[in-house]
Amino acid sequence: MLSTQRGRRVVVTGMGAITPLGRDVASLWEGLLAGRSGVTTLAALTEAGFSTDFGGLSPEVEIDELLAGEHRRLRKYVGRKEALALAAAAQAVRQANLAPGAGRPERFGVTIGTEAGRPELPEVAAAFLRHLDKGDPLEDYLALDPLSLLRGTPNLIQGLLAILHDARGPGLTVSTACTSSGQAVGEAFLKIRDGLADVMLTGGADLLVEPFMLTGFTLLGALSTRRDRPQQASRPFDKDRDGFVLADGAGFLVLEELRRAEARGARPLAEVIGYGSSLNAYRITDSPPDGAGALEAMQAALASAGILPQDVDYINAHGTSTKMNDPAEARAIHRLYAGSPLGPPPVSSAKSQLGHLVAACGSVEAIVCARALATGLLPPTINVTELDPEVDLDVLAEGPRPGAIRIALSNSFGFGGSNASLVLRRFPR
Amino acid sequence: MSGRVVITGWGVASPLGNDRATFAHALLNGQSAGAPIRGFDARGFACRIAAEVPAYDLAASCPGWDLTALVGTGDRKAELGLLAAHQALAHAGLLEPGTGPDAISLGTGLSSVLVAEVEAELIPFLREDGEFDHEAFARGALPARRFLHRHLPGRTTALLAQLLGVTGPRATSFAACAAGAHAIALAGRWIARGEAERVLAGGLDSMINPFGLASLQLLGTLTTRNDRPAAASRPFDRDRDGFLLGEGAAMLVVESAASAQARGAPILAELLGSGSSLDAWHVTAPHPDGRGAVLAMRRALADAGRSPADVDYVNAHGTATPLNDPVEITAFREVFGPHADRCPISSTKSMHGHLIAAAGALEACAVLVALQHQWLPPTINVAHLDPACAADVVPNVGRAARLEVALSNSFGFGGQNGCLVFGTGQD
Amino acid sequence: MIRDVRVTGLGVVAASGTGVAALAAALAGRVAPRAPLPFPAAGFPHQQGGVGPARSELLGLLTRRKDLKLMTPDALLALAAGVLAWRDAGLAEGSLPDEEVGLFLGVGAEKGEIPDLAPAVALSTTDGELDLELLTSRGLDRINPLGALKTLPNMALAHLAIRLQVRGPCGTFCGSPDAGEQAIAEAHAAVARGECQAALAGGSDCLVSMAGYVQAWRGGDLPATVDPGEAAAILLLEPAAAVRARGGRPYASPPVPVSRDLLEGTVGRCGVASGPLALAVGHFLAGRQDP
Repeated sequence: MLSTQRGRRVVVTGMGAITPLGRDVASLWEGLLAGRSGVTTLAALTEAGFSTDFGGLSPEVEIDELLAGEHRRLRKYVGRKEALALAAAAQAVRQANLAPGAGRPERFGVTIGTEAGRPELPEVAAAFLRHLDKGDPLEDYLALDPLSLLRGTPNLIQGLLAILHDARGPGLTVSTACTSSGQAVGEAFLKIRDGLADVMLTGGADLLVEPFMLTGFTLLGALSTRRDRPQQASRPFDKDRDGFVLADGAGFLVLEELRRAEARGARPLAEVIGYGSSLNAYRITDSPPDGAGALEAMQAALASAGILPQDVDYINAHGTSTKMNDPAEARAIHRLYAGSPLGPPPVSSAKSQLGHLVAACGSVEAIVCARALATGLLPPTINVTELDPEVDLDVLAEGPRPGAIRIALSNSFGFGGSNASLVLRRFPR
Repeated sequence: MSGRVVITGWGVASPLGNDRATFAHALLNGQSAGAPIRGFDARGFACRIAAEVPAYDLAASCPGWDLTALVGTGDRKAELGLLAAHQALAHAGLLEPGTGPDAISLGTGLSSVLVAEVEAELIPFLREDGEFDHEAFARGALPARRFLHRHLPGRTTALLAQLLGVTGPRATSFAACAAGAHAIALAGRWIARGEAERVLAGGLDSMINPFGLASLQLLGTLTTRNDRPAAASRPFDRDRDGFLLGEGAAMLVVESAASAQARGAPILAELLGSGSSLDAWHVTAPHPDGRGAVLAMRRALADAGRSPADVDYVNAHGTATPLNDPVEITAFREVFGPHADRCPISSTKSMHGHLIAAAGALEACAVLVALQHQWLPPTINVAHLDPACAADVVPNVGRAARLEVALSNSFGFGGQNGCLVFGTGQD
Repeated sequence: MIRDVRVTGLGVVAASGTGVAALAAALAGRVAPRAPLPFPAAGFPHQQGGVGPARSELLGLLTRRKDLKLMTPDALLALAAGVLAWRDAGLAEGSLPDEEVGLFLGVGAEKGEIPDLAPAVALSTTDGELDLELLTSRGLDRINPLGALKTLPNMALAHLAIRLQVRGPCGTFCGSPDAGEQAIAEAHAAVARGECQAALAGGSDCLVSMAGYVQAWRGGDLPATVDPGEAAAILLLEPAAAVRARGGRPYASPPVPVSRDLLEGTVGRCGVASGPLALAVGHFLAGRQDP
């Protein structure tokens, strides 16, 4: 196989997640297996009069616990999104048992998937109103927090994590909407496989359940409007799906070169064996209905892993629950399996339970795949009461399934036309 | 068979001797190998006699072979198999560097539980109440790798393949008492189909150990004529009471005529054809009319392109159990019709005992001896021919005869039959 | 003359249940049915495995219930798979001359259970050593006379021949991982060369009995990530011309083999049955074709 021919194998040695299903990986996995939804009605949104007043809200994070000693001075940069990222990353580093100062910092890198920070609407609005009153823009804008620009830069999380964990190796922040953290994990895998780093802290964080994004996605018509039963609003592959549910959260992984991990006695949780990405070159808001870009990302990932489609035992779909995505993704999967004797393996969408974490979904779903591989259980897609005939896949609608699963494929497709697929393998094989 | 299949070498580790000459001499002269069991103290058993293989020096008999894999395994049948294989290969001129068989087909028997195995793997895990403690076994048994391959029937095939560097077809046949015949038949088929050129083929078995003897005693198939071991094996005799347990191995080099001619190897005999069949009747008893035996003989003759009238000698399965012998004669008469009265049929088990899985292979060698010496080996110990077995069983003493085509029968527990047809190989 | 040979019947029994369709569905859904090993397995590295259907489910395929006592799991599984293959070919029992149906099986390691001797040995032990005098005077009474007979590897063939009343050419191959494939190759040759009009061939093995499990585990054939399993898969082979003549529809040859990893992940490692299992499900997935 290609990945082993190159000599350097990449394993996951730590994982952390803060999601609408709970404050760690264990609660995420237990919630998924129990078929729980992390979506709730949010009173603040109802009061503010939003037509969509529900979402997947992750638990609060105690920021001060994340910043001990000299790191307290970083407090001013840490908003909720950064806190989610730092907390999930800390879990991953703790599980990997990466002792500070151990190993060579210049071989330890960070790749992040996230989006540009968004201004705090009420704060900006107040300044804007004052400006309208007084006609003097500069005075009031200058009264805003001077650090707000820095807080908005997409690479802030990467910088904070580098400082907190003394990571001085390669770094990258990917901002490709829903594909962001899938690509971040993929790029981290390549950095280790290709010998540019030995350890990578990688993942994504996003914060979508807030007025600015709700407004934007509502205007785009991408969100579900099922106010009556929010927990049933995210229904990937179901005939009656009507859009996705916004969520927030973070997922982080520690990737490590296998021999190094074994040498220090770390326990690999899964192996990353392939990564592929592609561009649709089609439209900014839509993906090609024939699934072309998605198909190419999956094919590239399998080629990079040196495996055949029939070797894949589970696909964690992008499965957003929009009218457009799900049949197009299904078409891509069916095209990938044309000629394979068994057809596509079971497919499920964690978004049915988590909602859409956008820039964080790729890394969180990579964690879901790693847990599936380790436990031999395939997580379900909930809320599928009638499968869309255009989908025609085994979407695990009946619940979690004990499965013969050694290799999992995880898809992430983004607004703007970018796609990423990751291939993970059970460890040990 | 398309393309002629010939025999270019053979060897035996048998109760009648561990080399071709001794075996042939005893066989042609009607000697019995029956004797009190020497290998262990069999005093308490109902049957205390057997036909054991004489003492041998394995390392000295197999120069150049690395036998460390056998050390400490107590695998007697593998040792016997190696003894016979070395002889056969030397006989065929296939031990020189750069030569050798390209395939192996062996027939083997059930691995008896050894006393040493019971003492290592059972007794230490017996609880006070006499029950087996599975958990203690699970925790303690892995390091006892001594018996690792004890119950893998293919272990001798694998060892020989390794010793000889054989990379072509390798198979281990299991057909109880017909295994040796099945293995030789398979070798012939490989050659006829062009899948191999030189096949080491034969059978090996040894059940002369306490648990092997016990299992046969419990099945009630053994003779209990402990006072007269040499007269205990009495095929076709009115007073037969079961078989004399033998042990041993016999190996043949089965080769394509083209290969033998190309390398100038003397052709000792020809394997004209083979046949197998199922009784589909009962797991322990043969079909009362010998239906399966009839089918096996007919198939072998058809495969050889010979009619019953062409056959000059039949080496019978002839175990000397009350059940087998009359059924076999009935089947023989069914197949051979009027010619049955003219065709001699003898059981050499009267001399070497029943080698179980190796029986078919050793009796193939007996046929080779008969063809070579143009001499019918006798059925010894026929004091009163059972009327139900009426035939020319070559009673008690052998005799000269013109032999061109000979047939050898093997019928196994479970109703699986094998039949081989040999010719002299001289046109 | 060498005849074209087609697969016309498939019989499978495995952890996926009874029948090749159940196996294909389990493979497609990556369903890995697992059950506790059906012997006291505490202390062994594996506690669960791909255990086949309950014996009671297979009783309907037997002629006589009492035969069960004479069968190792391997034999029972082979018998069930053979009957299923025959039925799958659309042949009534007895519709081919009994002498014209061959039977070739690959089987795994011998399945003699050392603990079965415990009652006899417990009565025959002095100071940790086996005492032959005690064994013959007391112990032998505690050994099942049919025990050794039952564990003969060729008994699967015997039971299946009796059940289906077939008397053609035969063979049992054992002791190598590809014994099942060897059996199928010999059956194919027998049909192709006109030695019989049809042949049943395949493999059967059980790694979830104590004997089968211990053998595989000690032999290094069962790493911690692979569960033991048990299965039998038998194919019915017929000459293409005969299939045409009776209007049968043979299976097409599989274009792509089923992944061995997936097979073992789904039903566990099934020893010599794995190869025939992959062949059987491959033919099933390729579907029946016009003759």
